[in-house]
Amino acid sequence: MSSSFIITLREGLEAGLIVAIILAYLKASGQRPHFRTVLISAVAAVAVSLSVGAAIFAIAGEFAGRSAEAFEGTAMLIAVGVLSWMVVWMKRQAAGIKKTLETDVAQAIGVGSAFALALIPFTAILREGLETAVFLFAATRTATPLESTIGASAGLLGAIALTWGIYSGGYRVNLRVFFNVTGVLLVVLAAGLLVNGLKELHEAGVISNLGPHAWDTYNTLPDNSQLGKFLSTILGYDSSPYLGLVIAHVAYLVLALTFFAFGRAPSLRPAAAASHQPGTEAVPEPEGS
Amino acid sequence: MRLPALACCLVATGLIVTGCSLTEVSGGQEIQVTAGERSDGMFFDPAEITVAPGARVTFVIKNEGSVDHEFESYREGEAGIDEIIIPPGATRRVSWTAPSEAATFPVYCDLPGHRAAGMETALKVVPDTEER
Repeated sequence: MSSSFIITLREGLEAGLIVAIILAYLKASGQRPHFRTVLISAVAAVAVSLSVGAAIFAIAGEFAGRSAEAFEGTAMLIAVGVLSWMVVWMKRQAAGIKKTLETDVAQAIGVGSAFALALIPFTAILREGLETAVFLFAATRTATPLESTIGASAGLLGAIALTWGIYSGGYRVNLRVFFNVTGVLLVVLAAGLLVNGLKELHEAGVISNLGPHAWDTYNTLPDNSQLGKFLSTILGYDSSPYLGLVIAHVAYLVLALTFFAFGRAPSLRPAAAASHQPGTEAVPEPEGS
Repeated sequence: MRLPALACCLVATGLIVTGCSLTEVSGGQEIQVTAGERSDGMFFDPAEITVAPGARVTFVIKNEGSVDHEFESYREGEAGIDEIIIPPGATRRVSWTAPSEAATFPVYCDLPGHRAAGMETALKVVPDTEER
């Protein structure tokens, strides 16, 4: 539930901020009639994302036994890749997203193309939606459907409330802190997903050997107890992990957190510069993708 | 006792009680199961387990073999026992509540080749079975 909540809260807020940036720009430049185009486009992107998500779940339902484990394991590793890209490497490029969006919107309005204008929020939100679909699918493999649904819904509602609060100017959020904290949480979640994905592929016979068991803490904290299951879902806890999984887990955490920590500094300058563009102060810039 | 001290005691007691229940795998009568390999294949012993409808039981599975084994029954229409890996020489506990009606479920090791080598036991829910 917790991982679904964090995913939809962060991705939902990112998508919401994209819409808010565009609307704030249109409002400041006296282009309110284009609001409808942007909102319809945003709803369409959400609908396509939901359809893709439903298709992924439907396809997964067609598999059984070892092929299902192989599919789920592969989906988890894809989610880890998508998430790593999103949190770490896209951070630098996403820093200029506000300026890019405003430039694109100005050009679309300049040539008088409603389609071009609609395409801007559509593609940006679709990217967030597809990331969410893949990651939610992977996260729900280790949680019950009810837990995932409650967590994802709560995160989405939180994102909508935050976006509306920020757009209307009545609610101030330190987005830098928000995206840094959720970024680190997502890296930790991704490390857990990596472990669970490799375990699925091992059980499916795709990976033949992960080495010996590194230790056994079952008598202290069984992985099938309530707390053990929770930690397994969130962090990939295993009371008797294979050595290969331990190495993969630690290596991923070290690499991803290093990139996250040291890949951030250069991106802050254009972000700070962009936030001082006339008419754009209302909506702070997201740091993640 | 002052209110803050009382509150601290209550919270501490709650954490201890909750903490224990959060890390325990127990409930009902324990059913001992042995897993391992022998010359003609792999096995769970006993090969058949009978429980009463609605009974809460805890399987205590000991791996006496030399390789990893699993204990599970989680596919559609099965008992709903999530997989758990049992390293060689280790013991794992699995709590389970039987359905209220008669049924038979396969419980097996899903590691490649193990079930085909005979690593499966029949979990039978039978009315009039002595309540465990």
